[in-house]
This record gives sequence, structure tokens and C-alpha cells, in this order.
Amino acid sequence: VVRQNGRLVVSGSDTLSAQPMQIEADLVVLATAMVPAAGALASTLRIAIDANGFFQEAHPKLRPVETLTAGIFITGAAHAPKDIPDTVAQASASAAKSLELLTRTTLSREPMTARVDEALCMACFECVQVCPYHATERVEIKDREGRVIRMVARVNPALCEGCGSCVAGCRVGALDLAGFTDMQIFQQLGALAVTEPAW
Amino acid sequence: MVTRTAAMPALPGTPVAAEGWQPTIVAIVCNWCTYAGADMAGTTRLVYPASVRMLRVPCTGRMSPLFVLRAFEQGADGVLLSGCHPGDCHYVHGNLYARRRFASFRALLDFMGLDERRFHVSWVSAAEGAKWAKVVTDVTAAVRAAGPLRGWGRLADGKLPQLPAAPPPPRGRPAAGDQQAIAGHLRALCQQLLEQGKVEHVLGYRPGTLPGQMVPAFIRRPEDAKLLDWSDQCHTDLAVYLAGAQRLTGKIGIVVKVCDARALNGLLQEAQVRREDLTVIGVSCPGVLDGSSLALKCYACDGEVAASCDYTVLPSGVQPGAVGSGARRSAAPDPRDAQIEFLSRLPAAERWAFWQAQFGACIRCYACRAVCPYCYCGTCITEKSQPQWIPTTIDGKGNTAWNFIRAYHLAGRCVGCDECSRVCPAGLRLDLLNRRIALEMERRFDYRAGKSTDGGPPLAAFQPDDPQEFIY
Repeated sequence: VVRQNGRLVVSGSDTLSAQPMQIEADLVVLATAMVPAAGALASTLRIAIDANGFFQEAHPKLRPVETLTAGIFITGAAHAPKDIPDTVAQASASAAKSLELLTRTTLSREPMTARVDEALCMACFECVQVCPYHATERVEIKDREGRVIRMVARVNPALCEGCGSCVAGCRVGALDLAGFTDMQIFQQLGALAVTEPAW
Repeated sequence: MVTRTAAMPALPGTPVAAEGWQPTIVAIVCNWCTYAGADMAGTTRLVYPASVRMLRVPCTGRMSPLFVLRAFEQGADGVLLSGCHPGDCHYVHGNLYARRRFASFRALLDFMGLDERRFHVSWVSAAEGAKWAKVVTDVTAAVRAAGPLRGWGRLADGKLPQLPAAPPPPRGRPAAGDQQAIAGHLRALCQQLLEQGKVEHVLGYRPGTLPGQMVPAFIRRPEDAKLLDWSDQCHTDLAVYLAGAQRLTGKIGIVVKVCDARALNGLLQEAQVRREDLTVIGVSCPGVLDGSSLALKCYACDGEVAASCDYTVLPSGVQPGAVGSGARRSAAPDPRDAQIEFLSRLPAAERWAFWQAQFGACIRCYACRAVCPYCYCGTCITEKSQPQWIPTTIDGKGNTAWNFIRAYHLAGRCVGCDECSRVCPAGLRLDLLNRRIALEMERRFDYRAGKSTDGGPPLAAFQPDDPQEFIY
């Protein structure tokens, strides 16, 4: 915004036509700058934030109010600077999404979750340390008298988002990720890396 | 199009790329950023070399170094890993764990002599179609310059680089009087612990059947404590036996040297040992001998007995708690560091030749695994057959994969007890691999394995501002 010949000139660009443009105005009202305060809450709730520090939705088109932590929805200025109609629309969507969860008797989740082969697990619990969703937990294996024989890690499939960080960190190979199993990736690499394709 | 025959042995990195040769590059990309970014490059009709073959995984966090090894082993000339920028990860911070993993195995790949032009990592977001096109163009040019990858797991022709020899044994060998004093205090302390019922077993050393040899001893009765001994031949890291022993017995006492105490710290950190049933008897070890000279590992020893020790046995007597001598065993620099420096300065192809010759001698007896306190897995990754990431055949490919993964699995954990290279019947310099990766952990993440039991290993952690100078 510059003052020219006693009037205010606002410079900007028309993103549709990719042309720079200028508007002469008598009065210019600037919106107050907004700074996100998502940091601490984001790490508590384990939800992603974008490059500017606002909460990030699970998918910009298909899941615009959901986060990747099941049951947490984002609305209004928590997501990005927004006007009131957009905020209300998003809040209504979040409310509807929450009701959808709460009215169901069963919860359905993505099938791509990690699993622990408890016979192999050595209970180093690095998977527990790297899981951003607290989906892996320490479990006691007991004998018939109730004595603890050993500990293993177990994945709660209702919390697992299927990122596979635990799988790549598991040295013994006790963890695997459904849909992206070691076997599937191994076979794909075998097919991809050959220097002279069969065709 | 020039066809290549896989049977021609040559050094990797030999510039024999014919004109028109298109490298095979395997790109492993994350579903949310780079895969979408590549899609964006396609929909905006950007032109880039058709040399990458993409494999989609959910997150960079899913990418294991096993994937990279398998790709090279199968014949890829280059590998590119790509995912979301730091802070943009769809799964909060999978890429930040991945960054540490990539940094460590890249360091190891480089030390093994793989041409650094063959392995690349990039952050490409869903909006960065143009960046993806540029990354692929640059990576293709780099791999093309490196030439076709031949001889993965093959012995190289020509002269092998010779490591500079370790310096002559320093003066100030462990004094015999000190050793006898330590042995006496140890016997008295262990007898007392067994009599008082503080421990049911003591894990220590006793003389073996060969002159001067020391072997592990499990002592149960107080009167047998007199069998225990101490000398500069107490090589074995007794922490190896601890997890197994704890499954069979209750309270146990263990004799640890300075290096073993650090290994024990690591095992406590990884929840492999029950601390409440353990009495740790630290020995302010004056160093052990390898042949007639001080073992190489003792050059790196700072003499600080780990804080987890319940007792410290010094030549002057037994002290409760951890009492470090604080004195370095040798004022001379660690000769291994000079050898690592020497190897690192060699051209990659010569380094590769060195390690391929080393790995070529490996007979896959897994003695290195048996003596390592950190190789506690019930089923080793090399014994997995579905899929078989590490070929079990004793050939270049299998040996390369095994030795690489063994070293990588110790990244941020190995305390440098050097037992693996001591027991190796083929004389592989596994200590150099371990030390190289340990130095990388120290330099990059300011982490020394086994220093304390707090926190996790560095590869199960991250800092938002971890160095990423190697990432596009």
C-alpha cells in the first residue's frame, strides 16, 4: 500500500490471470495479522502442523476438517486465517463428523496398520519411542499362574495410522505393515531394480 | 541402447557409460509428498529423464536401509529416497526419524566405498513438481557420471590399499601387582555377596585351560568365589550372558570392565536386563592386552566407570558406587582413528576394494554376533527367510549385506568393546566399521553409546534441527 497523489494505491496480483494489478482506494482496512499458537497443543494431541505453524488437515480435499489423530477435528483459525462464514461452515462439518463417530457402535479404521509378531519381539520398545500416535504399547505375557514370563510390544490397531516408522526401526523384523509388508516391498524392489527389463 | 552384461567384473564407479546409456535408479518415495509431487510434475507436463522407477511407501519413516541394499544388490545403479520436508510430515515426524537413519547409513555406505553419487535423499513436497523434475535430472546426471554399478559384492582386481600399522605398544602396561590386588578384592567381595544372599550367582572370570587364558565363570557357592580371577586377558564382555542368565536365575552379580559397563548401560536402556535383580561390580580396569600390546579399544577408554555400578573394584580396595579413575589408559591417540582417516581419504573405488576383500574373507560363522552384547535378538534378521533380506550364501552379495546390516544395527548402540573383531577367525576389521559409525553418531548427534541409561538410542530420537546437509 503506497500513497500516490494523495490517494492510497494497493498493489497486488490477480492470481487467475497472473497479472499484477493496482487498485486506488480512499480507505484501506488491513486485517490484523494472525500468528498460530499450535505448537504445544499439536505435540500433545500428536497432530501435524503446516509450514506456517497452523494445524494441518488429513487431506485438503477429501478430509478437510479431520486430523490424522482419530477423533480430533480442526475448525476456523486453528487451521488457517479464515472469515466467519468459512469458520462456521467448517465448525458445522466438524460437529457432523464428531456426531458420526459418536453415534456408531463400532469404529472402522484403515486396514493398513502395523502388527507385531510377538514370537520374534525382543521388547526393546524402540517402536514405542518412535510412534507418534502412542499406538504401540508394552504388554506382559503371563503364564497360567499369572506370572510375567516376558514383555512384548503390541500395536493398537485403533490408534495406528500406518506410517511404518516402527517397522523400519525394528531390527529383529518383528513388525510389519499391512499393505506395505516387507515381502511386498522386497518383491517390488526385485522387479524394479533389474537392469534389463524383460519387456 | 547399449546392453550390459552382468558377468563383467569391474570396480563400481568405473566410467564406462556408453552414450545413450540410461541408468536404472530406484526411487522410494512417500505417498503424501513426493509421490504427489511427481504426479504434479506429470500433470504440469514437465520433462525429466525416464530413469527413475518409483516405489511408493506411506512415509519416509517406513524406508529401511535394507531397501537400499536390496535395490543395489538387484542391479540398480542409483537409489533416491524422497519424502516430505521437515515439519510437513503427514505422520507428524516420520521424516525426522528417517533423516537420522538416512544420515547414519549414508555414512556407512560411504565408508564402505559406495560412490556417493549413487545414493541420494531429497525432500519434495506435493506442490514441488518442478523440484522433483530437477532432482531426477540431477540424480540421473550424477548416477550417469558414476557409470553402471558393476561388481556389487565382487572382489576387485588390482592392488589393495594397505592400512597403516598400529603404533608399537605403549609403555605403562597394566602392572601385575595391580591385577593381583584387583583379583583379591573381587574374590572377597563376591564371596561376601553370595554369603549374604545379595546375589544367587556371580558372573565373572576364571583362568582357562591355556596358560594366561581367562574364561567366563558362573559362581553359585560362596566357597567357589576363590576360583574367580582377574588379569589383562579378561577380554569377554560378560554382559553378553546377562539377559540369558536372568531368564534362568534370580539375583545376579556381574563383573564388568569400563567398556562392558557401557554395554550394560545400553542393555538397561533397551530394557533387556532387570536392574532390580542385578548387582554391578565395576572393575577400574587397567586395560586388556591383545597379544603383547594394549588392545586397540583401550586407547579410546576414558577410564570412567559407568554410574550404574554398585561397587567399584580398584587396586586399592572396593568402593561402593561408581568411582572412576578418570585416567585415560593411553595418552596416545586411538590408532583406529588414523586408519579410519586413511580409508576415508582413499578414492571410493579403493575403499570399496578394501572392504570387498574384507567381506570376501567372511565365512559367516556369526562369531561376531555371538559375542556382541547388543546382538540379543532371538531370531537374527539374517535368519529370516520371508523375505530373505540378507542372502545366506557365503558370497560377496550375502557377505556385503550381512556385514553392512550388522554394522548398521549397531549404529548408536555399539560401545566399542571390539569383541567382534577379536573373535573373527577371518580377521575382518569390524572394529573400524563400528568405530566409524560411532564417530558419526558423536559428531552428528552428540551421542556416545552407553554413557548413561537415560533416553533412547539416537536412531529412535530426533532433533528438529538435525543436520541435513546431504539432503536436496
